[in-house]
Amino acid sequence: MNNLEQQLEERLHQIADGADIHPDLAGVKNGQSRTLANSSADQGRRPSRTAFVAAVAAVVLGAVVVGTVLQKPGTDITSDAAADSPLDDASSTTVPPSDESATALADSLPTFYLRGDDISPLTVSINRWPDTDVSQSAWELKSSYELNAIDPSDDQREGYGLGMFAVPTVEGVADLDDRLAELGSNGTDVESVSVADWDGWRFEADNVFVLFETDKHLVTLSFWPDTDDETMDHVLAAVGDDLAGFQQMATDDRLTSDGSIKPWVLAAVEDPGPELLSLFPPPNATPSDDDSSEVVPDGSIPEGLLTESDLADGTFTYTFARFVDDEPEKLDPDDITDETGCRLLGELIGPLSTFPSQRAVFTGTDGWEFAHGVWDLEAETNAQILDRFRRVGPECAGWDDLSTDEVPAFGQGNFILAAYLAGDQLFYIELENGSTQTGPERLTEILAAAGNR
Amino acid sequence: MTVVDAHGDFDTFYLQEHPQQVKRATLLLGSDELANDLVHDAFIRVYQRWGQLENPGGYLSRSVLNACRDEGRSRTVRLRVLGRLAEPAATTEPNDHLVDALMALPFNQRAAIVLRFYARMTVPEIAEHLGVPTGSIGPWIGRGLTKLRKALA
Repeated sequence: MNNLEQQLEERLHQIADGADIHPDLAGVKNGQSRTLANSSADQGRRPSRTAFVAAVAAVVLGAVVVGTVLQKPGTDITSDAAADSPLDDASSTTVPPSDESATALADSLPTFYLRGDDISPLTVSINRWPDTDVSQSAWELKSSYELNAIDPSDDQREGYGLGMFAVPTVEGVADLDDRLAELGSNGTDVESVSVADWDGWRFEADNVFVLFETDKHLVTLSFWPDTDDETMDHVLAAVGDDLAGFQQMATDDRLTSDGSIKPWVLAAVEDPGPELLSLFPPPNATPSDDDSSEVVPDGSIPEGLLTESDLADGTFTYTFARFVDDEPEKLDPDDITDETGCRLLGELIGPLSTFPSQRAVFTGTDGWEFAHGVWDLEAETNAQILDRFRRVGPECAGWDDLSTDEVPAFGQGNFILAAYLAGDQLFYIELENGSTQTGPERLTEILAAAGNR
Repeated sequence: MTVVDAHGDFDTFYLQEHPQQVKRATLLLGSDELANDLVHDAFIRVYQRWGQLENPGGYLSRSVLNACRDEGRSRTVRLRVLGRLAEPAATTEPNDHLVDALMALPFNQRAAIVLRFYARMTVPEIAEHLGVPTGSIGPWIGRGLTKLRKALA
C-alpha cells in the first residue's frame, strides 16, 4: 500500500468513525421514512419551487415538450382508442431498411461501424453536441445500420439529439468487440472511443451502455437485454479509456429479491453531453389524419399552461415516464390500468400509433418496455397537440406536484412541465430547451400555472 | 413485534448492519445526516421484504449503494437546474482536500475506493456489492486514485 492509499484508508476510517449514527428500529418497522419525515432537513437539499421557476426563467429560451413512456407489456395502459398502439408490440418498431438515399449513403461509407446484425437488441442514440458542425458521422453510423437516412435539412438544428433508434430484431454479438475496437482505431472522425466511467450508468449483467464520442457527437449504445458478462468484458476491453463528463443518467434503482438490479434504464446524458437525447424523426414520416385518441372527456387544463405560441416552432418531442418508486412488484396490471394513468398515456401515446417509425421500443428482461419518441410539430397542428394536453389535464390529480428534483432528469436543460401521481406511479412531462417561442417569462407562467393545479 | 425467519430476527440484523451501513454511506455521501436517512429507508425496504429475501445483507448493501448513487445524481441534477440558486448539500466534514477530492469522484470510482480502502473488500466482493463485473473494479479504483493524486498534488 502506497502513501496515498494508506493516507486514504486512515482518513476514511476517521470520517466513518466520526459519523453520527441514529438508529431507529421502531421507525423502520413502522415504515416511516426519514427522508420524508425530515422535511426541514430536506429543504436544505432541495430547491424551492420559486427558486426552480426563477432558475428556469433565467435559463430557458424555449420549450419543447419531452416524454418517455415506460410500459409493462401485456397491459393496457393506453386508452381503448390507443390500444392498437405499436407500443404493445416491440417488433412493430423495427425501422425497415428503406430509402434509396439511405442505401446510397450507406454504400459510400466505411464499413467498420457496428452493423445492425451485430447486436441484439441494440439501440443507438446519436447526439450532436451543441454548437458543432453537421453530424456527418452520425449519418454514417446511422446509415451503416441500414436504417433511415437522415435528412440533412433536419440536421440544421443545434443542440438537439440527432437520433436514437432501435434494432430490436437483430441477432448476434459475435463481432461486437472487434467492431468497437475498429471504430475506435479507424474511425475517420472518431477521436476517441471509450466507455464512460459508468458513474450513474448501470453496468449490469443484462445490459451495457457504451458511450463513445467523436469530435462532434456522443454516441450511446444500449444493449438489451441479453449481453452476457463475457461479452461486456470484451466491450470494455475494446472501448478502453474513460470518457469524461458523462456521469449522469437517470436510472431505476429497483432491486430484485436477491438484490440484483432490474435491467431497465432511463437514459439521460448530461453535461457536457448533448442537450437532448431523443429520437430523430425519420424524414419520410407523414402525419395522419386519424386522431385516434378520443378518450378523455373535456376538461380544463390550467389556463396558461401551454398555448400554441409556446409550441409554435421546432420539434415537439414528448417524453413521459412512469416510475414505481422502488416497488416494482406493486405494479400489477390493476395499477397500470389505473384510469387516470390510462387516460393520460392513452391520450399522449395514442397519436404515436400514427408514427410507428418514429418510435423505439425495447424490452428489458423483466418485461418492461421503454419507449421514446419524437413528435414533429409540423406533423400535427398546434391546436391538436394542445387539445391533447387540455383533455388529459383535468383528470390528472396531482399536477401540482411539480418538482424537478423529484424526477430524474432525462437530459440537460429539461424541466418538468407537469407531473402527477397515480397510485405509486409517477408520470411527468418535460419541457426542454429548444423552441424559440417560449421565453423565460412565458415559461415561468407555464410552470406557475401547472404548479397551481 | 420481532420478525423471525430463516435469516434470524430482524432486530439483530438491524443492530449488526446499521452502524456499518451508515458509516459507509457517510463516506459515499459526505453527509452523515443524509446517510442516516438513506440507510434508514433501505432498512425499511428490507424489513418489508424480510423473510422473502434470499440475501438480506446483500439486498441492504445494494439498496444503500443505489440510494447513495441516486442521491448524488439527483443532487447534481438539482444543482445544474438551479445553478447558483441552490445550496449544496450540507456536509458534516471539515475542509479536507482528500475528502473533497474523494467526493468529486464519479460515484462508481468513489464507491470502489471506499469499499476497497475502508471496508477492505476484495475486488470480487466490491463487484458483487456494486453489481458489476469484476473487471470493472480495478479500472475504477485505478482511475479514482489517479484523480486523487492529481487533486492532492
